[in-house]
Amino acid sequence: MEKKAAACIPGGETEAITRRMNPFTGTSYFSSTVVVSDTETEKEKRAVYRRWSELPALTIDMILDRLDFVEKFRFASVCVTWRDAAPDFAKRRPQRIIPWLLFSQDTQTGALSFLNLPETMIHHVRIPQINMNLCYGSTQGWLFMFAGDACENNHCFLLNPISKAQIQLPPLSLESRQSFLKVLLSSSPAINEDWMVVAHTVSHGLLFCKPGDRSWSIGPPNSKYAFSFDYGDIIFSGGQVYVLSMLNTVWVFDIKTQNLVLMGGGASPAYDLHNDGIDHGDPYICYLVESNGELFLVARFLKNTAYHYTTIGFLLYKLHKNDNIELRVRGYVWVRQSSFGADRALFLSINGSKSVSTIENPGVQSNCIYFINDLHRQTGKPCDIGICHVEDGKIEPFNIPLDAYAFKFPSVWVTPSV
Amino acid sequence: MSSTKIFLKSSDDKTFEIDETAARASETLKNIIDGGCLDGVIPLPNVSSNILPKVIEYCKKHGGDNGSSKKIANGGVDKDKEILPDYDEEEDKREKVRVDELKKWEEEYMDFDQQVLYDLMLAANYLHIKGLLDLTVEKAASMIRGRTPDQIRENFNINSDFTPEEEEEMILIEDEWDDEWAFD
Repeated sequence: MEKKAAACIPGGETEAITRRMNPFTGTSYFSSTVVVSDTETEKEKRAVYRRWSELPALTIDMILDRLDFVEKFRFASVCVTWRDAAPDFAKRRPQRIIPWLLFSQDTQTGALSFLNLPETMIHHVRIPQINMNLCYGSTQGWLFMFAGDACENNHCFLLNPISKAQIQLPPLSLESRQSFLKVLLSSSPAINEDWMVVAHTVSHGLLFCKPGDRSWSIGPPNSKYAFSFDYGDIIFSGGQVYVLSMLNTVWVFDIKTQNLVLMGGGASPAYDLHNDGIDHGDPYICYLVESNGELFLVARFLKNTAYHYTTIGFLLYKLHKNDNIELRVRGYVWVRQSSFGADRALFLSINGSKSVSTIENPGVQSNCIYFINDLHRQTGKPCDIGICHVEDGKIEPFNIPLDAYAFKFPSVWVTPSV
Repeated sequence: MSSTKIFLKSSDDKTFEIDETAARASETLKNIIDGGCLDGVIPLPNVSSNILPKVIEYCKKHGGDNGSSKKIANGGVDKDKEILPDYDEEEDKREKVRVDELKKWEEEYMDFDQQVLYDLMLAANYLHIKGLLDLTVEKAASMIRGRTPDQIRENFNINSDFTPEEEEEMILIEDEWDDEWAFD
């Protein structure tokens, strides 16, 4: 302050003098001139600065094109006009979007905490009146939430934790809720109005709803396949639902024709255990994953401890078209893979997995599986969190000291979108 | 080649002189020149006399190499590579020196505050000077990259004009990771 006043002699002098002369009223002639001239320069400054928000659309687009996804969020958080200038940036480079780990909620403020692994950043988003214990999954950047406790009502909705938009869905039956497994969106409602929600439940199998529906429509008659669908996995790909059964067969459900067709697969990864350091009795979770247009079966093997499971390894299989007629396996078979792909990484969860390119996302480690604290469906016990390097099977914790077992709800990967 | 002089008039009625070859770095000016409707002075109602000399400085530097000289240099290098390797090395060296010199010039040229950046970006946009627009947009992007919204506001001297409710509901509140983060 002293230095500034000395450098700017006239103003500084005047201010200093008036302060000495009249420290209490602040209404003397000198001091009011100082104040007036200050506000004028302030106004001038603002007039100049405000113009940054009036940049032509073309230059704003050019700036946005040079920013990555997270930076675009920051851009949109600067001022109202910049926010309004960047409403649909999520559509531009969807392949560059890396899932964030939604891992914690502040009990007092309700703020959700997201871990952005490649940037080693925690992002907090405040959403009042949301209870993460009522979150039943994450798909296309949206959370699937129930409105209240089970006995109260079964109204459910989609919530975008970044834009905070909500979409009401038809109520689900108590049975479906209690046996809820997974939810899928065909596409983000923010990008495509022609979206569809698929809910996978033990009680009713696959349930569907579209925008404007008043109730869920029931998919394939689950009773017929109940023995095998109960704890499988489902994914959306190319407008069709792929179902992984408990027998590790892959079924394709065509939404338009309501046809359920066996594609192939089969065989248990447990038969494949030779020298992997995994015992036959070890529990495992099977995930169905799409990467670069190909289907993968990821088997996550666990060691049982008192309160949780520790991940001890993964086996990877790719669905291959079977050209060998002599083999009596229909169509497609699982073929063991030693690598997930030199330029791919997998963010794995029973709530929804996502494979990303590590070339387009340099902060992500290639040929790695980022796994989180999924609940084992049959036992209800949580797993651990970490990274598995597929190449040598090495498992290590995240680069941030998250205590996975202190989590109050199973984490979900959320691919931020607006 | 003797170059015709072009006169540009800024928004505040000051006239500046520029060589035709340099002026051709601007698509807008090029179209006016080629359109033949050159009437002594080209009025630029969107560019002030503060910023026009800066624009002219860029055009002078880049007007000559507007595609042509660069192309010859690059194309020549590739074609002659097998036939004249010695000469080629020389050419490569010269090219490298030229590029380094240009980078240094750009660095010095781009050393100004955000107000000039804003005016220059708009002038480059209006006059369709692609290279200058790229330079200014990149500088603006670099003032955003890796920074929190607060730091960005500071860089551009923008005041957050979100309502208190919006501020409360702020799209994103960010904390950089530190070890004091507590899990309860």
